[in-house]
Amino acid sequence: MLNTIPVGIGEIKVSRDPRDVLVAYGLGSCLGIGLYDPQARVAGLLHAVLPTCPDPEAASCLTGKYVDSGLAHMLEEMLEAGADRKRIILRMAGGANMLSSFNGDPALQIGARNISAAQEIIAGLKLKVAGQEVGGTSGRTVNFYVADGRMTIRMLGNREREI
Amino acid sequence: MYTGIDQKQQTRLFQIAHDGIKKAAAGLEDMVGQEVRFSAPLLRQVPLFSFRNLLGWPEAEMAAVYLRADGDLAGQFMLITSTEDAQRVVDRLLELPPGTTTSLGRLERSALAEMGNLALAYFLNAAAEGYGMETRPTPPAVIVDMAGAVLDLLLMGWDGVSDQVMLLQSKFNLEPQFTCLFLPARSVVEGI
Repeated sequence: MLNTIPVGIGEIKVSRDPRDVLVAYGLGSCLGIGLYDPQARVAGLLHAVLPTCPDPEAASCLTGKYVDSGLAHMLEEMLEAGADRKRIILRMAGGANMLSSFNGDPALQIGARNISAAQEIIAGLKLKVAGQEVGGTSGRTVNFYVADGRMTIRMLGNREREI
Repeated sequence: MYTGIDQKQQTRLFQIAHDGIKKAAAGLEDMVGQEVRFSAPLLRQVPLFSFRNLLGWPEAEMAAVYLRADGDLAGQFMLITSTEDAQRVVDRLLELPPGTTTSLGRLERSALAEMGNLALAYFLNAAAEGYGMETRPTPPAVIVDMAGAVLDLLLMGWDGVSDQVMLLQSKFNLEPQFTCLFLPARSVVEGI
């Protein structure tokens, strides 16, 4: 019997329980980033809203609200939970542009900015990307299975599929 | 969205929103040709982590009209309902027999956009006439997707710091109901 663990906006959840499925529902411009150690079977899912933490000393940057600080904190939590830095792989989904008709205003391109921030910090942390489905104009629900590190997405009108 | 707000600001914001929604309902009555009831706006502080559950299940398919406004009453506005209810409203807007609309294509979305445009225009006119607030709306966008993904749009105006999202929530009863959400910009709340 699987346990569904919702990961709300701005949250980070880390688990070692193979019965857990970490779920971020209805991602629009938000980004769902998953980290997994396949040997220790430690999984973490981040549900980030905005790309960049404005003040690294601020308490708000200790949560999962921002892509950059959130991913760094989730990595720390994974290591504390027993993951090995060298084995960790990453999968991510989301970052859609839900307002395709407002394409002219960069301030409204939050999804694209979240993706760029993720790519930058992934490169900086030298994380291996095992799969991703980002961008587009549709919402996605992400399911991240702790037992085997599979990440699946579901979009309106479509079946769940692995990325 | 600014969440630090004192009683005086709350009262003022409520008055502006109430007058705006009342006028918007009157405008919608002209559009659909029958009485449109509305609920008094409720000022809410919604925890960020559960924001996408604001209207229930975050994967529920919803149709929304989204608009932004710049100026004295800057902020974000959204009229949102289930896709099925949006289709029923389209029947009314296009004067079609009930049950005719079964999908939201270009024509149907255009009708919804016009409804949102009109409602916001009346809302902003009330603010201008009653409070001297000059505001410029953007063209409406119609989005059909999971509730959580649609509500993500409103987080574009989030201040990035607070753990709560402040908004005003009301309902228009067009048989069916639309939820109306207004998220004022921080500058608006601080200036009230």
